Amino acid sequence: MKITYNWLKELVRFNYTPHELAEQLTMLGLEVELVIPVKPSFSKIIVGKILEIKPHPNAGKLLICKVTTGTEILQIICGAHNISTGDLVPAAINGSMLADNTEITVKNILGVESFGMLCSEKELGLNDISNGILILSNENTNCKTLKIGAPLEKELGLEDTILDINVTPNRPDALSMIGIAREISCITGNPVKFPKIYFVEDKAYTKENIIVKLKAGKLCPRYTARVIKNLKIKASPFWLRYRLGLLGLRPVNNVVDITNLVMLELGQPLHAFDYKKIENAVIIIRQGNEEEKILTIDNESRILDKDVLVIASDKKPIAIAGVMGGKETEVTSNTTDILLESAYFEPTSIRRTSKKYGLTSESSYRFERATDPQLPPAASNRAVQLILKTAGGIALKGIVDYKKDIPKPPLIKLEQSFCSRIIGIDIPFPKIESIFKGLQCSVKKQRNTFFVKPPSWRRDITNRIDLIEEITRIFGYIKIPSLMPIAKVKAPAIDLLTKITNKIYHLLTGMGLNEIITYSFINQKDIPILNIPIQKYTRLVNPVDKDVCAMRPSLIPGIINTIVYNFNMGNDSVHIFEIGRCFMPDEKLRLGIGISGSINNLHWQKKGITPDFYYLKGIIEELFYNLNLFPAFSYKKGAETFHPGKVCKISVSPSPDNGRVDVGIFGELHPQITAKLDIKDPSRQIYLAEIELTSLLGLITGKRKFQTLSKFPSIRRDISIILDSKLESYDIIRIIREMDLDIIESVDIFDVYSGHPIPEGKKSIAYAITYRHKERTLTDEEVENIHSTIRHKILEHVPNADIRE
Amino acid sequence: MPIQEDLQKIQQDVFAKIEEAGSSQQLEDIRIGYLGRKGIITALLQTITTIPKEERPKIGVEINSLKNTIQQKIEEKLAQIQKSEQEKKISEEYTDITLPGIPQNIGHIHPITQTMQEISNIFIKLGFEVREGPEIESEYYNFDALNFQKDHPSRDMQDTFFLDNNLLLRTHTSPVQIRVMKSEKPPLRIIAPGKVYRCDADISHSPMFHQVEGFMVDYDINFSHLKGILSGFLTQFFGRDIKIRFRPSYFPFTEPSAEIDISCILCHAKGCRVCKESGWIEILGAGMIHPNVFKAVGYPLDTFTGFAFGLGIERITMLKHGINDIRMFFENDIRFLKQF
Repeated sequence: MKITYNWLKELVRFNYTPHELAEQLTMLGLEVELVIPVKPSFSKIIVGKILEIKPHPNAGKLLICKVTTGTEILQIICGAHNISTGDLVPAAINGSMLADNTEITVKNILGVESFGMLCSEKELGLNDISNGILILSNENTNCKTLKIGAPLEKELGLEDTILDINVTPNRPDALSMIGIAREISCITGNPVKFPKIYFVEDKAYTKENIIVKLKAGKLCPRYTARVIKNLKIKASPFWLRYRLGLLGLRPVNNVVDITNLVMLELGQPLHAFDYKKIENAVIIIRQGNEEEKILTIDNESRILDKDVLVIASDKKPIAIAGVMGGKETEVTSNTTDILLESAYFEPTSIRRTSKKYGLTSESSYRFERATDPQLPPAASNRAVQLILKTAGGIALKGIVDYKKDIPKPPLIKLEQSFCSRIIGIDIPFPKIESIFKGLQCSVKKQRNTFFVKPPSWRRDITNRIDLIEEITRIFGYIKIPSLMPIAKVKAPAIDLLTKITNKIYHLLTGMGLNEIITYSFINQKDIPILNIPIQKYTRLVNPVDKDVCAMRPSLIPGIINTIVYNFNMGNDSVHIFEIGRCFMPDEKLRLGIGISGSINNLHWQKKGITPDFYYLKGIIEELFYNLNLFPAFSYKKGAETFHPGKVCKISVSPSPDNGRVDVGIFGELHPQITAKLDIKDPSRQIYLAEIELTSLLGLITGKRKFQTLSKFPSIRRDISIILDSKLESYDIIRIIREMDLDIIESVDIFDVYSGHPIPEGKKSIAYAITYRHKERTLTDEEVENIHSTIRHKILEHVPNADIRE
Repeated sequence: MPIQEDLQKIQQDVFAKIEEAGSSQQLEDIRIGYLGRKGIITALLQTITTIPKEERPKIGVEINSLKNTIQQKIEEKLAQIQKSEQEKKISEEYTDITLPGIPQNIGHIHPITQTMQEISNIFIKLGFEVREGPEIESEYYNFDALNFQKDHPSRDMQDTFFLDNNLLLRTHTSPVQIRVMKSEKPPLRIIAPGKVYRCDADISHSPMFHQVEGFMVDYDINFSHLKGILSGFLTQFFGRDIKIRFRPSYFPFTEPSAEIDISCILCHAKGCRVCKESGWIEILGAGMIHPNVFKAVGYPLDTFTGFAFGLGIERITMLKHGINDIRMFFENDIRFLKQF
């Protein structure tokens, strides 16, 4: 909400500069987000008085004016005709600058010298449309006296500062100038200068001219109405338009502008109806009917229902209560009589209606946050006073004020000890009392206890914690000391998840992978990549982008998109991982890995590595070994995201002998999917893995058994085997392992080869077996014996195998 | 005594030769020339039979002595030559130190994760424990139990994504407060980092972002403790030279509520675009846990007090590193990630 510095000064006395004021308000919880100085863009324009007007001898449309500036009398030629002798006007003189930077000089206009210019609002940069010379009458300026010759901006108070305040939803009382003045009053002790309301009423009674029926129960606890007749609708005087403009409201006409002004001043939204358009002069406050419609003043036709509170004549709805008026009863230039509504509506009803129509107005914004239920009559009177002043007319006698169950302020008990317990220090009893009084609460004391009744506008104060907040806020957060609590030491819970994820971060970054974070949503276009039935997706009801409409069931699309993004940014080597939740629909924490592109391609000495299936397999193996788990890999069919010949299922177990749990999948992205990606080289290979971490947690024991180190030398013997291409390398290792020989330390594969001279359909695999005894040095002879047994065993068990010597 | 004269002559010659030798090869030649199978000393020893028997032992001793002396001299000289040869070789070796080293392929942890870990670690040192909660939440945990009244504008403070299963994406990490307090009794010191979601997006807002929630509950935790703990945290995180300001604010689930600003670290509180010329940057939301929240989790009336706080990770990471667009965090450009 915006306020102006000058206006606030009219309502409460204070000595702060605009920036000090902003600081004070911010420290009261009314955060000033912007301080905007307002300065007219013209310069050296003064108040002049027209002494004489006569026609230009050589141009019928022009007038020659004699204008006094207090010190001299100038001859000024003027084209506008809305001026009269004796008028005060803005006078630009030799050296003045208009808003559009036009400099005023002495000119000869058709044979007559002109020593300046009389200005319109447009020329002063105060209005977009030209409507003649700005006449500085009392009515137009709201100033009693203007000093002739004085700078215009000073005399009219055009220089001001706007403060834009972020008013939190609990403080509707601060959504007005008077509300802000009350806060300043509270810290300065200076009283709020509530505007004096006085006007003359007609002999005819309001209540004889309007019937009000409350038929909506709790939804409308208070409704007041007044009638003003014979007024003249026109543009508002300059001061009113200027003030509304500063606070961001568009001027409409004098009556509507006054209702807005009073809303800004006091916080009470008002509505003016064209009285003559209200059939039978009956106002009924009721719920809408299902068949009803109303055309609102924004020219939208709105369908009503029983959840919508309406203001109706005895024929039809004429306004959506508290949100927007109806077109039919709108105040127009033809209106002569008005009915002025000032009411208190139940906040939640207004909010529901405002949400339903997606319609937020200055009125609904205040009503849905709760207005002051005691304010409607006073606000109505204030508006009548100003309407009579700017639009004339006669106000009928008395106000029609219907109320039913108006919310009453609670009586709250607050013990000083509770206050100290929450704040941490003892704020002196008299200090607390003076804070309450400053807030205009009624206070009773009993020993160490306060009984507090908040003012009607503080609807947010309902219990003692609210009072404590008020005490702390006004006392000043800055005066509360910063202390460290004395806390009990407690045995922490075991947080395996954080431990494991941190370990994964270290392992994978150590292997050269960069962590990414992608959105938890999935784009419609990525759904075909995943072979997941549509009913499994958790969908967003209100997506920001309609294509991004569901929660991700997998990390794979985000990883692919990140790889594509990086390729297109010219990053050739993309080795990434993400740890994040997936929704299937249950939340599961997953690890995703994506690898594509060579590393160290441009080094002068060390050749780059081009990652392939086995590169990623190595990462996964290393990861699991270091998490103290044993991975196993098996062929996977029907995983459509992956290359059917380069994909496998990952299962793990806490020890080599335990039962295995499936935890994920890895392989090459299906080349047909890669080909459709938005990348320059569709033949690129992208390797992906996805592992579920939630199911891993139960398997990780964290226990690691120490293996004794042999101090005796090892002996290496190699076996090179030619076998059928379809056989697995592990078949040989399994045979060796099953022999259960203690002295075999390791079996490594150091060469795999097919092609000439190896026959077609065959491949050659070379195994290195390392022998080592724990307690003694092995002899060549015993190693040779065992090695030859292994050779025989392999030839015996593997069909068509041939050992190359 | 021709042999003895010979020996003297030989000794003079060989010593001179050894002294003159400039390389290990020359020394080897000398060794072979004197001590080798066909060497001079070897030949002398063979001629010993030609001298009278009674002189043989004496001459034999002298020859052997000379042999040993030559041997020793050669070895000494050899060590000397090898040392200078090595010194020469080393002094001639050259490395172009401007050629690049072999790059070690090290990955990087995402800056958001790094910030969350840094924050968590500060609080862990203060005895806080890490907890997590689900990202898909019910209206109850996200709003109702946190004292957001139904049909109240305070719900507009957080634009919510709703899901087709009547659930929603949590708009803040505060539901973790409810989940922890429902299952555990004070004393509690909890920190809860995680993803949160709000349906707005522009240069400074993302539909998904990260928060760290924290809270402390015990019998007598008060507002001055809130100030103490959070000032301590901010000083640890941003350094000693920042100024900290606590000012009143509003959150439905805390009262009194506070927003905590630090002096702008970009302009040193002089006023810039980032701090909107105010010199202050909003960092934390906090407050004393509202009695209605304790009521919702079933804690007995007036027994416990506590404070809670929350902070946005993207914002402080952007501040810390001078990142100007929140979307960079989720584009994951490798060139961006490698900077942290």
